Amino acid sequence: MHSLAMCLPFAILLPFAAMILHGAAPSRDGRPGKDGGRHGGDGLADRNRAQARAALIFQWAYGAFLAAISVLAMMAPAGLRIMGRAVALGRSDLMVEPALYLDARNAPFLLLLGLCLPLIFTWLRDKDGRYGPSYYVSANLLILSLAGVFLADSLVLFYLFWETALLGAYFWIGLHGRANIHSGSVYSALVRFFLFTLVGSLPMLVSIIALCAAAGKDPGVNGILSAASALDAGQRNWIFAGFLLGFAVKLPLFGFHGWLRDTYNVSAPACRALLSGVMSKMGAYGIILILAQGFPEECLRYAPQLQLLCVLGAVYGALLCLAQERLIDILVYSSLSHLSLLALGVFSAAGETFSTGLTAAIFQVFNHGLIMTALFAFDARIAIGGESPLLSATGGLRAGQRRLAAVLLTAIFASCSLPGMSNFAGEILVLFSAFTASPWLTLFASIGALVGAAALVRGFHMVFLGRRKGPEAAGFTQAPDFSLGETGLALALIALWVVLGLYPMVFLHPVESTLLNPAGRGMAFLP
Amino acid sequence: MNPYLLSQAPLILGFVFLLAVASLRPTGRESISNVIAILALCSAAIAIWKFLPEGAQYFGGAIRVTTVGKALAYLCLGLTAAALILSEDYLQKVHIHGVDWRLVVLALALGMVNLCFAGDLATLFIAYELVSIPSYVLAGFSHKDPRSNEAGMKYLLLGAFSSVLFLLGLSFVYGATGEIHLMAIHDKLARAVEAGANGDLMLAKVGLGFMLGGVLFKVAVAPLHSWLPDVYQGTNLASLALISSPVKVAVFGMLGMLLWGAFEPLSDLWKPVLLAGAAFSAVMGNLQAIVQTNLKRLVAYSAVVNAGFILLGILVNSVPVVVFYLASYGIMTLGSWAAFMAMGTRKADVDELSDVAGLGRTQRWVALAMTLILFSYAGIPLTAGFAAKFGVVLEALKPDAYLPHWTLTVVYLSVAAGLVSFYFYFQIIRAMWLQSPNLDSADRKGAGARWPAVFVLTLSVVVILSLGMFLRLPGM
Repeated sequence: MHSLAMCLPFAILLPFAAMILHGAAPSRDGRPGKDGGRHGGDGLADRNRAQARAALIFQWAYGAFLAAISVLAMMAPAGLRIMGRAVALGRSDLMVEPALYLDARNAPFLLLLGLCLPLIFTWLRDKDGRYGPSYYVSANLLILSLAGVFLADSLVLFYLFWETALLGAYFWIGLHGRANIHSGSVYSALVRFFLFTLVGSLPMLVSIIALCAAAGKDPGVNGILSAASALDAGQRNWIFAGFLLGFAVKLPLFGFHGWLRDTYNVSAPACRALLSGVMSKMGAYGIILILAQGFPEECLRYAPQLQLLCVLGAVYGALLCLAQERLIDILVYSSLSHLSLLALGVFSAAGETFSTGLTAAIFQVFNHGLIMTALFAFDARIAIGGESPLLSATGGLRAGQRRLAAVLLTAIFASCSLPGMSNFAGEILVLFSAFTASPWLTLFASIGALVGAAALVRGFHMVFLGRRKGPEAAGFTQAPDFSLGETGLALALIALWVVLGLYPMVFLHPVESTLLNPAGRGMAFLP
Repeated sequence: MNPYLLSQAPLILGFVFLLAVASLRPTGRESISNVIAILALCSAAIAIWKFLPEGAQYFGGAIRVTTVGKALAYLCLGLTAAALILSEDYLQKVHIHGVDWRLVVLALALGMVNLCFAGDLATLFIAYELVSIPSYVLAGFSHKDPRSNEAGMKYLLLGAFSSVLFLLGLSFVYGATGEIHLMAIHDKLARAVEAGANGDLMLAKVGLGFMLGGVLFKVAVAPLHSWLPDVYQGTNLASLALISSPVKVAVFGMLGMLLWGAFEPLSDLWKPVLLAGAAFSAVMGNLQAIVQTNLKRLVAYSAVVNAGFILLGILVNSVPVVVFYLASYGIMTLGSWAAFMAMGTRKADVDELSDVAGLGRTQRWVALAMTLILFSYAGIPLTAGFAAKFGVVLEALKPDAYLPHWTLTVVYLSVAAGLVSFYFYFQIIRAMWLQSPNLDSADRKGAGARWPAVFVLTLSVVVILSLGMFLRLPGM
């Protein structure tokens, strides 16, 4: 398996190369909003379309590469690991070993990224030539950072990619976001997102430095447990709190979600899909692989409070869904609700059901990421320009977009945990794990899930069914329906959901056995 | 010949040579004077490397060569040479006569080198003044510009005040210990602390307090920093590249060497003072920077913030950390002035945030380099600024670090206040990348053609990235 581990750095280097190539492309930006692509005439739009084509091809190839190495790593008994030469960070006595790892615990995250990228860049391909090179440069910066966060074993590398992900998102939203009447200016939303994230990541940095100082070297994501056990309980509490803050903002947990709605609203559609589908999973990665694995005692000690926070998020997000006027906002808050459920799985993982909650959470990461990517992409395809429809002003859009309506409805059903689809399996496991911790909290969480599902179906109903209203009245033009290829892609995704929904063990088994035994000894689940 | 004199000879000879050039050919080509000055600096660095072994003492201990002192001297000379390259064609734009300006710079360099090697109180004070006085002159060099006059005058008056405090402190210390050599002062103080002779120590403590007051004023540690933004705003960029970068490095280096060396026995006094300075700098520097729209003032407040971190570094008693921080800070500051020079139009410098709007499209490389420098200021990984801050915090969090009671609180405060600094550094990034240009492109034509600024900018970005990507400092 050694030779396969050599592939890991390419998961980061390939988008980096793409970023450089896009940046070097001789084309000036046509920014949306200001000139809408008309600015430089057809030549500019043509050049931008060429960029979009290049990006499409690259993301398919890169996505396939990620998916391949993730699946192989999930099947490899001990996972993959590559380590660079140890170097000193700035000064002599802290050695950092730049290590990457990939086993069944983090492979689902990378697999999710690999599957989402082709979907996003196909469904939301820039056919009008609206976006210039800077769009793809910032997108690739975000993508390489996401891959880096999921792969990094050394904490300094982890923090590096954590911050560059923020930078990628900053430039992607800042350069190509669009204001709308519901979210104020792009910049105010952007600054809120930026500061919120930093409020989390700076304490996380202090925690990382504290762990490094305690261990005398960079302990790495997998060495946190042993590095932290050398500290006394008071210090460990603070370090735990620093990490928790960073992940709570990124996920977000209830109370840390102030940036969520406006940021998603002003982002370009592809950015929005990637933020919700994959970037929020950085927070999930943190709570599953760093908090739950590195600080089991603290997780157990604060479990009641954290579980309460999760249930509050699940119920609150679902209730907010009911009050939203636009499809996109329903998606945003249902995402909050589902992510809170996911976190509930992590924080209720203790005792006998230790691995159940964590496995379910990782499974939910995968499901939620794919579903949200699809939902946000489909939502942006309803209108030309990506504007999300107002529920009250639109209706009966199905007449113009039959294929889109069908796949969107299926994705909504998947999101509502329809039995037989993968989300159902994951959610049941989460609730099962939560039930052993507290039946009451589980009851409320299930009610939250139910209400959120109702709101989603209601949203679909109001936009697509009923008597045809607007879209002109609502101020947008309905986009053409999905092409056959795009529908085919959606059907393939739905097939994946059904397969994983009917036989989730193919996913759950490797994850659970690696969680129970990270070193991978004695694990033989494959025939 | 005395090796120390030999090592100083290039600077002195360069000075004399420039003086001759200035009197004989006052209207001659300016670049000759620049070449002479840079050669003088380079040969001084080589001479220091060749002739001054570590641990050597000259003139009966008035000069003491240490590893740290040598590292700082190289750093100061290098930064000064880079600042001279920057000045190559900028001085004409601000109507400064280059030969005169470079004369002052060589005097300044002499002062900085001696500050790094000072072994007794007299040398220390003379070198301190030899750094200070040229700085005042440099700040007020554009004497036809009222703002430059204001800056020079403000700097002179307040700087003279700080020098007097410093001198007063020195004399108190001399009075308390009866010694002039720093090593001897250290021994006496250590014995007095051991014997618990509080009467003798009182005077020394008062003296140290005055010295600290003077130096902290000079390096603009909050709350003694209110003059700094005004001076930065009025000073031309070429002079600013000197007084904000190598001079800061030299004075901070001197502070560190004094406190770790001669006054180490009195650490119960100076550690809390530095701690308070660091806390004030983190809070006031960051909060005051939020509302600034002037670029130079923004950088001035960021200098206050960084000063706080350097004090923390001195506090945790780690020489490599402080030297690394000073190196990265000096280079970042120099790089940002180089960027501002490259962004200026043919007639005017960039001044307000709105002047850099849309630069990402008109001057892509300059904007990109400035962005990287700002990342470094803010402390984003892979840059020198991150490695430097990481080092300070790491040192403070080490389990076996013996530190005053509130240190960890102040470290957390500094990092938390860093959140605010992200906001104002990203104001500049926002202006460059997310806003549209508001100057005519005709006005910008030829702006990128100034090779010295672009060269120094590129150089500093390369150094910042390579320091950030795990390179060690030579000799550390």
